[in-house]
Amino acid sequence: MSPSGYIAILVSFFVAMVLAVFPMPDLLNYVRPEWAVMTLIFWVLAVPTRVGILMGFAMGLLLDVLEGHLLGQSALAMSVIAYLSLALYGRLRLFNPLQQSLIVFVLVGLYQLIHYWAESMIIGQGQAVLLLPSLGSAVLWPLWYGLLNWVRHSFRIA
Amino acid sequence: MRHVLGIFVTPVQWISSLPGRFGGWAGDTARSHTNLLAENETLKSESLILQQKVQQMASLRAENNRLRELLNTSEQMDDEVLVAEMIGVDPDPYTHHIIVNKGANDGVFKGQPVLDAQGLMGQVIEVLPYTSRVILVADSNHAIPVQVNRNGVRAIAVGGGQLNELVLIYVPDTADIKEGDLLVSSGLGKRFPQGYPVGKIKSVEHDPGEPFAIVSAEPSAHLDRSRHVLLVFSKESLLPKPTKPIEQDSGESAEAEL
Repeated sequence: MSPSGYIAILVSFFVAMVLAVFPMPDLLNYVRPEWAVMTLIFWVLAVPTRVGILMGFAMGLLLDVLEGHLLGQSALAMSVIAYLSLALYGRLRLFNPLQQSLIVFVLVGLYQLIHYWAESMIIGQGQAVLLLPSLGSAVLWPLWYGLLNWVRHSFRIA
Repeated sequence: MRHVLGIFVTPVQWISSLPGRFGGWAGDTARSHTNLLAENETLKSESLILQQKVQQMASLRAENNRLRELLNTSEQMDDEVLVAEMIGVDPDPYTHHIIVNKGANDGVFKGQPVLDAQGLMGQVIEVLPYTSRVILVADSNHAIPVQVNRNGVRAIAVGGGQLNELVLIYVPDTADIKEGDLLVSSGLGKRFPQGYPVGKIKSVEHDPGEPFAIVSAEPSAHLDRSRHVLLVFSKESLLPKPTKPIEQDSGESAEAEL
């Protein structure tokens, strides 16, 4: 993969993080998709030999600082998601968008659950885990998939 | 570690604040002439009123300091402030954090009190090189020692989880707290400076089944509206503490413990 491919991947994560903290009306806040997790899942599916657990860990650390969680909390969750996507990518690639959305729903739900566990262990009280963000992610997955696929083809990332 | 990562994260925060800034800029630029004149007029009259109050305050402050000297207490100083702009709000609907555009490079420190024009907003919980994160008083993980301005009754105000809600905990049923009382920071936690307004009592309920009264208050600061905030550098903590125990408070605290 050319350097421009790596830059394109990093830029897509950057955009995902901007979307993750972008100010939104209160109601939409509850269903805000986990953009960074979706981006990670996509790149693992697309180039499993280049993007993996390490990338998930690094992006998770940045997410922690950005969202003000305990350092390492998102890093752990993102690593787990990267590992699961790596284990599943062969199957996931063959799924149609609806089936993929269902898997994304489960993966993002797991991501939130890990956050919840970490918070309830350390702070003693987890922020209420609702599956709404996973629902948002699942609904927007085909769109985000299409967009990132276009990026992938225009930068010939393989 | 967090500090270094913060350098990478700052552009993300900056970009996500752009639409809001642009909106503010567009609003400022596209305002009509008559509107500006009217605003100028109100600001002028407001400044006149404030100046008149400040005139009185100088003499009152001097008098207060003389009296405090007589009582052998430390002198009250003006607090120095740094104006910061809010550039982001935490996307998590269960926490109430904001991001401001001043960080370690401007001397911001962890635990620094944050005010707006109406009252106490919260404190800094995380300092990055160019931005910092502020927890608001209404966050359910935040508590602040307060005092009723009318009679000095002390209490602890915990965030209610909603932006317009504070809850006073461990208030005895017999405590003299009424609806409409002003709560000011008591300075007892050594973190917040003393005497800044925190909230106003909204309701006091006495439930015979509960050990304590249920008291809720509304924050004075405009937690959901303020764009500019003040970071306070309190000088009081730098002064030497009085050597002799002070007896002036005994009457009040006895009253508070009733």
